[in-house]
Amino acid sequence: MRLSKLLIPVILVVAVFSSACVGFSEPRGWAAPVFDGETVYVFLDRDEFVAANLDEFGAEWSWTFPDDDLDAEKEFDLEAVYGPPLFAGDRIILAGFSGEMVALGPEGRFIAGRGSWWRDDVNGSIVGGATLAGDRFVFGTTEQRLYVRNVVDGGAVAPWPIDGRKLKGEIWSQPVVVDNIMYVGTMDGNLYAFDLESGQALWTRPFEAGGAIADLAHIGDGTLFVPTLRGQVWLVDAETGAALRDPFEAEGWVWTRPVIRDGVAYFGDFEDLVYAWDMDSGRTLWTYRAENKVKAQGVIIDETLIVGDESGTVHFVDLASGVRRNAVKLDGAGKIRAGLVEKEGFAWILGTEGRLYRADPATLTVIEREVRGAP
Amino acid sequence: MITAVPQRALLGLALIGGVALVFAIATFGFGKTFTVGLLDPMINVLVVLNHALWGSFGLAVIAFTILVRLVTFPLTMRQLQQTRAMQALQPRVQEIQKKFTDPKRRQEEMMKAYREAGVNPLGCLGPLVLQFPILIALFYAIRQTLAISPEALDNLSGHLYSWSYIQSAIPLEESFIGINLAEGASISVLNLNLLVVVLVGFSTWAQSKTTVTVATDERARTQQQMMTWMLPIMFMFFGLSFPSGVSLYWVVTSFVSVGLNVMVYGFPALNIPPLVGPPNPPAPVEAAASVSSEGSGQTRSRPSRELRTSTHGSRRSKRKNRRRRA
Repeated sequence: MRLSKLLIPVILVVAVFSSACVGFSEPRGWAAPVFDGETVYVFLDRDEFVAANLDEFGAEWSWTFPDDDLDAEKEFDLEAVYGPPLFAGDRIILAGFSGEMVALGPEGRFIAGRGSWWRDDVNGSIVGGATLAGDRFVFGTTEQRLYVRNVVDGGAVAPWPIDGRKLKGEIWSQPVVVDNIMYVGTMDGNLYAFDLESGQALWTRPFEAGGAIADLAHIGDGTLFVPTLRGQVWLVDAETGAALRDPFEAEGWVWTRPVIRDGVAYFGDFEDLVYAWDMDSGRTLWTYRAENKVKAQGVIIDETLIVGDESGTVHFVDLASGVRRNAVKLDGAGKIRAGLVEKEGFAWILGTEGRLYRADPATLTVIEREVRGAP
Repeated sequence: MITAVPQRALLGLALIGGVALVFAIATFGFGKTFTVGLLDPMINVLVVLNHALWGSFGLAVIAFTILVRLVTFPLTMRQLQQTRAMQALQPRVQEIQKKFTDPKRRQEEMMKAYREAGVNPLGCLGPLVLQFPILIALFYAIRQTLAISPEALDNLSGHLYSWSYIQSAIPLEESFIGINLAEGASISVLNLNLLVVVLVGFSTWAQSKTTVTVATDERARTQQQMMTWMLPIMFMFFGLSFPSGVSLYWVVTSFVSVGLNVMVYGFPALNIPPLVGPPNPPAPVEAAASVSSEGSGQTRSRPSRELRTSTHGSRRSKRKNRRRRA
């Protein structure tokens, strides 16, 4: 037998498998849609940022960034966007997984040159997105760096270094800013608090969550909601950095923010469960089983909790009992990873296939709201 | 001396495994069977190794590669020894090819020669085919475990067992002695990731150089020589686009292969003799060297120079030779 005859098919099979592998975990992003009056801003595909005007049928496309017909925008590559766009005065700031940041004008146009509109590259990938804090914005990267920049030209803000402050772990969560204090969680399980003005750490040592912190939320009354990929959820005192009670033990990873009502946190995990956790008593009021992992933050409208899971199913759950009122599988939506958004009594849902839906808790139905005219 | 696992035991295991595999695929489908049966265990072992080896994913990849090579060692040895036996039989195969013009008769004689020498022409292919799903799963496992994007980390959660030892190990450290295991390499950037790609090429070349060639004519030999250079270039090309963790796996597994090749085939260029003897009972010289005359049906015997080489010599052959001389 000739060895080459054996090698050639082996090589071909390797090549086929290899080429198939290249795409299976490429970043696609999961930024939630943002509404500003009757305009919706949404990422329809990876870094294709679209503004559209809402109407009774869906939304009429207005503009797209980057516009491939414009030379100044051709070279942009945000790769994928996971955090929401920031609206700072008349500009929109986008932070991409590629580590590229860009500020756009009101019509979504990039104008080259620092000073008015700008772009910048940072060290590492931006996963959680940036947070606006007055005339500054803050964000972290997978290269363990924490940045504070000004919204005017994206430049450094003293005493924060231009190339970011190095922490011990990767930063995947979107930082939280409350009363000029910035809170940021890292993937090595530490939660930090910094004074934005002085850059000083607020706590004597970071809070140790015991598992990777991929998301973070401030739920009012000086309390931080700290979920971990170990399945524990902590409530942390924002002032002292101490745990307020024993952690909640979920079945799987918790990589989402909660929706809160009357002291109860509603959130899902990666073992397909949705929990109603009474944060005062520490009791679990109910659990609800979805069809798949629950990554997206839900919304509460009237007495209905609406959550989406990674099978592309939207669940209408009775808030008091945790009983399913209806579940709608969205064909062609892909996975629901972007947080749901409440607007005027409806829940808006964006699937990973870039299709926009509107869930009605009154009729327990979901309809697609197409963005028409997008190139 | 290392010998092959008894053939019956291997056949029995292969039969049981085959039936179980067919049943699983029929019940769950190929994708689910591959994921649950191979990919998930591999990913979890990688995570456990990472946790046990001071949180170093690079060490985990190295340890895991060696572990997999140990598990598949009997198959590898069988493949290498079959290849060596095939090589030793080449002079006779060439002789048959020259002697018989009728393809059917030629095929019969070849099969007879293989049978007499105790060699299965597909023997070196079978173990390779059996190893292939394991290698593919390993490749996927490393890519999946490295979680190079948020989506990949999301997907990884579905592959992990719910043991807290594993759950608390996530996410894994991507850096290993200056190599970013989650990223590929670029020709324009001189860094350790690029060095790993160079090592991919070198180790693949070394593997090719230490592999015994089973070529029957000059054309085939030329093709094989070409492959010795083509393979490293191709794998280096792959290495540029794949995360360095996958390349690291390839480097380690290639060097393990080089070691096994040298152990079984020796390395004449450095005067290294084979450390492992032939797998099968040696074929009798008369039988191995005899060629039926075409058309006559008679058998003539003559000494075979090639079959008396140190790699194919045997006590039994020598005894028969002595008897013949006497």
